[in-house]
Amino acid sequence: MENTDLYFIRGILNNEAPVLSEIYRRFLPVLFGMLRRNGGTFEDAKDVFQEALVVVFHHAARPGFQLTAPFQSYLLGIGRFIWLRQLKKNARLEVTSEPEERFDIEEDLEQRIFESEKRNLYREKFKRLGADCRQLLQRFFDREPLLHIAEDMGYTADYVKKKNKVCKAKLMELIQNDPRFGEIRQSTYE
Amino acid sequence: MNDIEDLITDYLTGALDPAARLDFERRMAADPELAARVALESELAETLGASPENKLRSTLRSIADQYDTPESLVAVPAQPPRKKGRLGWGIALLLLLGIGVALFLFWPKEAPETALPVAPPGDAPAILPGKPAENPPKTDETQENNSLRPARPVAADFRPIQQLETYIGSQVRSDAFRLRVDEPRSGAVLPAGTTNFRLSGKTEGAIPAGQAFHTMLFSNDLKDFEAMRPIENLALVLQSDAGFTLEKKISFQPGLYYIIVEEEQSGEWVFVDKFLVK
Repeated sequence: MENTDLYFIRGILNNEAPVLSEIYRRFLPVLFGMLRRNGGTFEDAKDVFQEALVVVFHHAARPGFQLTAPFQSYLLGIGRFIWLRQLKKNARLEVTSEPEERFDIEEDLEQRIFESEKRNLYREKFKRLGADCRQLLQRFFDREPLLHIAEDMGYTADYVKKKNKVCKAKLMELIQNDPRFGEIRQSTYE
Repeated sequence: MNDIEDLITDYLTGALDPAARLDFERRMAADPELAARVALESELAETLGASPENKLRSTLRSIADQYDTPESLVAVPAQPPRKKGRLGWGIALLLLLGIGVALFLFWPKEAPETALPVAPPGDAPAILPGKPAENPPKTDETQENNSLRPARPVAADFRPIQQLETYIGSQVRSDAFRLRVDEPRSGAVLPAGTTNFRLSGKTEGAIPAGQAFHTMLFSNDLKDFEAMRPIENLALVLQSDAGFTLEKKISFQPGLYYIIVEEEQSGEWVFVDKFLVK
């Protein structure tokens, strides 16, 4: 791995804002150019770019990770794949791209992308809950003790426990009833 | 005896003693539905709780927020090979010029025919696997994006929020009742400026006692939607004839707006639609 590539990968793994800023300045314009040719906006490019960086974060954190292409090709290849899936879902245009932007997505990397989509679905459904449920579950998922949550929210521990179950069940129902959940789950376990 | 919810929580938080843990794992091995439920809850905690990914997302969002338009991205000088080439040719050009001047001064009658102007070098080669990425070739897109272009087109202001679009026109609530909104019609166009916004319609089906609703209006600003920051949050009062009318003077900028009617208690959406302001 080249030093600059390593510098970018480490920056992503360690959440280093200056390095991440540099990655945005260097590579987001290239991704935007690619998306624009396929009807994408700058906001689309920013969303896809963020998702691509999160996928890199998970992929690079795996033991034995090796970058088999220059960082630019790797990052933009992931971005292109994510965008292609979005276009297919929206039944929009086929992606066109320059040869140097093409990058073969290996199976392992593809899995990271599907998992990222799954997590985004969870986030989307979480936002659909009412404010009370969101607040309670957020603290629960942050592993805050229920007793502490109850005291802080001015409820009894029993009420918080019951409410927590109701909210969690509601969230799971929202997720499981979305057809995308089945599709993504199938992709991640294939 | 703990119920299954408590057991799952205790299992995932490591609160079970080794014997109980082993017992629970045996139950999961024999019950794929339970195993799937535990897996989902584990993934939810990992996704929605404090995690390195969420910290990274937070940093990425704050960086991305600095860039509203492609023009706001001040590209880092990428030092493409083309630039280095130009510098090299520039030096050669200066040297040749110097030699030319010297020849002209000292041997004016035998001044050589110089090869000026020097042609610029060809385009940088494409990145190949294994080639250092630190000097990525400058693509046409990069060049375009670095040049100043007019502000984003007006149509971009009407960019939809995909997460919401999927709910429009669908029967959000599948239970015994639903809201039928007569005004504004789906996709209606309202005038920009201060408008008497009116949401009216009827409920269909039996509404359980004690249900209360509120209406949230969102612009198409994704960040506001994600943070659940509506531009208006208004109580929706049901009348005795099962109808409802909500009116408020609101100042709208041109753009795309969404209406979400949410049930107070559960936070369930019972109606989602959109309208335009032009």
